[in-house]
Amino acid sequence: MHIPDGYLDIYLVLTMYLLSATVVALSIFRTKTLSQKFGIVAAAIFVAQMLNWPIPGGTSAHFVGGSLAAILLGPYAGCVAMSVVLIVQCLVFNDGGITALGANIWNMAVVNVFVGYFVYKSFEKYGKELAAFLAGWLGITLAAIFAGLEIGLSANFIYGVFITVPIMAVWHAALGVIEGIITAAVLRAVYPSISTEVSKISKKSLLAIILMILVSPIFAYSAELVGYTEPLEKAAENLGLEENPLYSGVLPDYVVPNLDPYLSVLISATLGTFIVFGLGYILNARTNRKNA
Amino acid sequence: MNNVIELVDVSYCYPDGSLGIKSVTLNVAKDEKVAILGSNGSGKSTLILLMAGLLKPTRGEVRIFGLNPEKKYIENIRRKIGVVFQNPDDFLFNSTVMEELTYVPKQLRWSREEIEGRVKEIAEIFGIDKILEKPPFRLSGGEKKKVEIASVLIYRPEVLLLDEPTANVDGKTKRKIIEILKNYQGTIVISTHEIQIAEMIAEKFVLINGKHEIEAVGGKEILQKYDLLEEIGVI
Amino acid sequence: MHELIERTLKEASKYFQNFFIHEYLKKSALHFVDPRVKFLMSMVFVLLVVSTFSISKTSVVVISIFAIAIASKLSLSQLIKRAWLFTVFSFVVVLPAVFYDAMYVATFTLRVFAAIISMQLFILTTPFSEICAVLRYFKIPQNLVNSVWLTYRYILLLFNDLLTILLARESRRVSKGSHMDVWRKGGEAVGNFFVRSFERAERVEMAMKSRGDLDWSRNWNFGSNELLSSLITLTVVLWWWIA
Repeated sequence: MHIPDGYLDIYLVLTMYLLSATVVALSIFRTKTLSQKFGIVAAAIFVAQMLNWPIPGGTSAHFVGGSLAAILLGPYAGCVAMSVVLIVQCLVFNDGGITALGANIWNMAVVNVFVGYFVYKSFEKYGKELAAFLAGWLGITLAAIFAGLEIGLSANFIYGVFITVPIMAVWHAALGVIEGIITAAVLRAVYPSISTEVSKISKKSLLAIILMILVSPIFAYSAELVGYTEPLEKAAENLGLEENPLYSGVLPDYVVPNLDPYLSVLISATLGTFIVFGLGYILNARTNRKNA
Repeated sequence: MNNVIELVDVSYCYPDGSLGIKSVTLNVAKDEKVAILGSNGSGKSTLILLMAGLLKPTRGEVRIFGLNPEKKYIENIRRKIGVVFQNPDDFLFNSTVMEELTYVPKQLRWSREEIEGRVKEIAEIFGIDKILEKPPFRLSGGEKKKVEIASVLIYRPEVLLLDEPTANVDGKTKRKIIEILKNYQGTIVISTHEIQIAEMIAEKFVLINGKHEIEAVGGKEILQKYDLLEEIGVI
Repeated sequence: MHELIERTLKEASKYFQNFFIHEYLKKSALHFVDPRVKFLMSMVFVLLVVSTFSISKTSVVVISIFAIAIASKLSLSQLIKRAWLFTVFSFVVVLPAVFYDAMYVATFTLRVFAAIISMQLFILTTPFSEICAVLRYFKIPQNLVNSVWLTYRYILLLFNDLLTILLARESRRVSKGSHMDVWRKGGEAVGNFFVRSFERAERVEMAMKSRGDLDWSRNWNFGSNELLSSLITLTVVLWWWIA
């Protein structure tokens, strides 16, 4: 479910970063005593995600754990812990792109966590394990739907939401059954030994975040509308930046008029490569000398 | 067919790339009592896990009762081999000591009378009859260890593999465990860094050096070679 | 459970290979550049890639990164090795579109590849502690950075913990189980693992309190290496602009 770089266009990248930053900042604020201990908890979630669960048919699935984190730690702490996991995955293992980090945090550390928590609390009275199963299953499915929405809305991705969302939803609703079973099983094992009593969560702010999750696709959609009418290059054109003075000064287009366009590309490519390589070469020579 | 466990040129590397054990060739015969001696981090635990068929060797071959520990035979092998892990906290996962003891018998579908009789018997031997209803994580270190060994011995495995069975327990518990292991009829492989313990239980000694290889194998006489023992770091 | 352990071990070894890449990767010239500058360079490259859909502009970034890697003696094969999986995956995902827009498929795949290697330029040449120091420099909250660092620091230890717990269960499994059994029993094992990890978290927290906070301040310097790297970045931006 980790979205790599290159799937989302720049408008979605920025929107998702903004949305996620808001909720993560609020979560950090709410947990008040955000402490180092989250690091270890996040590492535990990370390791649990490394398990490769066999599923019928010979393939396998991974456990995400957003809902579990929400149930065990409460939604705010769960959101922070999941964000930490995603940051490490992005910065160490290249799981999920840096530009897509905002979107990935939104899907797996916000949607999965808060929806998981909401579902768990709503069904807790019918039994803890059932509630945990539903939270695990719905949390992951909804997270996948959001991932589908984001890449579907992206101008850079050829398939629209009517293809991406059903595919992501169906696939993860099936896989989500395992997520649900494991979430329930973990809770059964954990429950007797630690109190999962989470400090009082204010209903108002929780509802506000759920509401924010629900309307977030509208944000993403409107960001796209802006994007369609005003791509970066067009914006530059409007601002009169297209005819870059440095460009005409440095490159042969100005010096040699009537140059064949293909030849001009070739020349600028050679020149560009040459300069970058040359500067890199000097850098290399310098560091070599220093360490000799 | 006298060997219960055969290792042929076995090496194991952990997923992080660190070496567990290197080029080990070793046979354990039926009813033999073997002690694996080595310093901390020499690969004793890895060797125990490989002998149990729990880890798959990176190189070489492990045969248990003449079989490859692969999917087809694995449950058969498990039934005959009992493994006692170094840390009881890894091992005890049920909610009461009673459930812990009956975990394997229940899987083997013993009758209720049989299970009850055997639990009573084993609880008396270990002196744990007072704590049967307690959750394992509330026990003391020594009690945990006794419950761990009891929950393996209860299903009468033919081979007993023990990873540092007397680490972190007091003298009284230690003596109890040694007494029980001495009375055990069957194959025993025990890993330890304490020579006295090894001497009391085993008759064959496998010395592992700091390079994760077998340094020497021999009978009681090998325990007199102090320079060798010092080199591998157990004295 | 048997299968769960074996598959996990197999995949984990691939994972940890990435984890320890700094230990066996030969040092390149980029290793000696201030991580802040490298971070900004990589970020600029990534942003150049994702803010265009022109194949020539994307190629500019790819060619530049290759040129930088070759010039600074950064292993090109490592760079590609770290990027090919997602690239191929993305190619397969958009492949059906090849019938009416082959150019799109090519551009999309190249963009994914370019974005990944842009980031790898930074990640491959910077130890994780330095990456954390950069995050702190850019005003990411101290406790969040501490958590990120501790996660990194404890992954291997906790992985070994979890593995032992699973093996201990497997050692007493004497009857065959269904997939459902594996999920439930495995889930319980993960539960035990969480309980122990939470307890460990409390202990680590106390140990850290007793020894004082982590220090992410560094003696940053902006010398000629950094100037050269900035010039390279600037060249790529200009070239990207006119391409």
